[in-house]
Amino acid sequence: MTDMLPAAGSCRVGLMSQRRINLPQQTAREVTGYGDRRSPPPALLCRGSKTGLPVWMLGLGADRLRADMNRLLALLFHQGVLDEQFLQLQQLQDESSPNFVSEVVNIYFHESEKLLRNLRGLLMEREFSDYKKMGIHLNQFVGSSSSIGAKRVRNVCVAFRAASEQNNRAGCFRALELLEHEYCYLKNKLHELFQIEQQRVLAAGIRYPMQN
Amino acid sequence: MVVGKVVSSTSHESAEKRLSVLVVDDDPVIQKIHKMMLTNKFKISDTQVAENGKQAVDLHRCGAIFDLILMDMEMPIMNGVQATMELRAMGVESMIVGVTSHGLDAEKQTFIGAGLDDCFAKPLTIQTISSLLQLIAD
Repeated sequence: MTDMLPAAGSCRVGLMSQRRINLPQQTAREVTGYGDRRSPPPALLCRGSKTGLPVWMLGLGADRLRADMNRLLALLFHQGVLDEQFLQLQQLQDESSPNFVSEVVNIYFHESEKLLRNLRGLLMEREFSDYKKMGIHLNQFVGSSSSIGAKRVRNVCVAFRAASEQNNRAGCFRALELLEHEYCYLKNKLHELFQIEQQRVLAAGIRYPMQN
Repeated sequence: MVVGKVVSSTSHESAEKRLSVLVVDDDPVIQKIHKMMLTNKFKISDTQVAENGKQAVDLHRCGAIFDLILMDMEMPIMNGVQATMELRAMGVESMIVGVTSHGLDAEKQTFIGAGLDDCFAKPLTIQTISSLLQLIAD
């Protein structure tokens, strides 16, 4: 089964924004089962005034969303997209820095997209020969990907670096294509994770209404 | 798999350490992670960041002293190898630990030969930093 990449805003990397790539990608609903069609109790169908969320989601919703997050994380670990280093980042997050993981990951996205543009720009040069410069970009990409636990992206960067060290331009092109693919998949999945986390925080912050 | 805070059992967690650490790295991702590990996890109140080797050397020329320097290898303006050599030439005796994502052993050996006390591959883990701080404390 293949799905199209989500549209604007999710991933704009080099030429990726201009062409569609069929990726084996499941939507959050398929992964988590969240949003099924069971009807909530009628008394709880009114919406909470502060969040606009249906009242039935409050309280109970937080636990379910936490389970959804855990399932998505388990999937990403199982696929090798993330490794233990991501858990190290989560260990650093606490009440004094409640958004630490998303802040670091957003910096990583910003830096990575610069690196990907630089790499593509280098390879597209007609007289390209600066493999040393390419190696510098790739070393940074390896380091930052390792540091946030982006295992598959890191592994592709290592293979890309090997092609660069051999001055293998064709190999570098192939590696770049794969790197852009892996990066987009990672970015989409982490965005999903953070969205669920945001919803969970909202749901957990609202008291469950008293029933008469 | 549980999402959320995991309480560490390292001995450094509760006591405030009067150590000072310098993180030398041009990558903002690494800067943020290492600084957070040191300040939040290990309560190192004096943690500073330099974006390249020249900034690290300039800090020392202004009289700064650090117990631990985490030195990236590849940086613009002045790389980790050059910065380490300059710091040692200045008489800096702090523990300087190299942190690199380089794959080639020859380059790592060059880095160590510049005067490092040790060298680790990225990423630095909480456990590695804990071991380094324990060494300094001892």
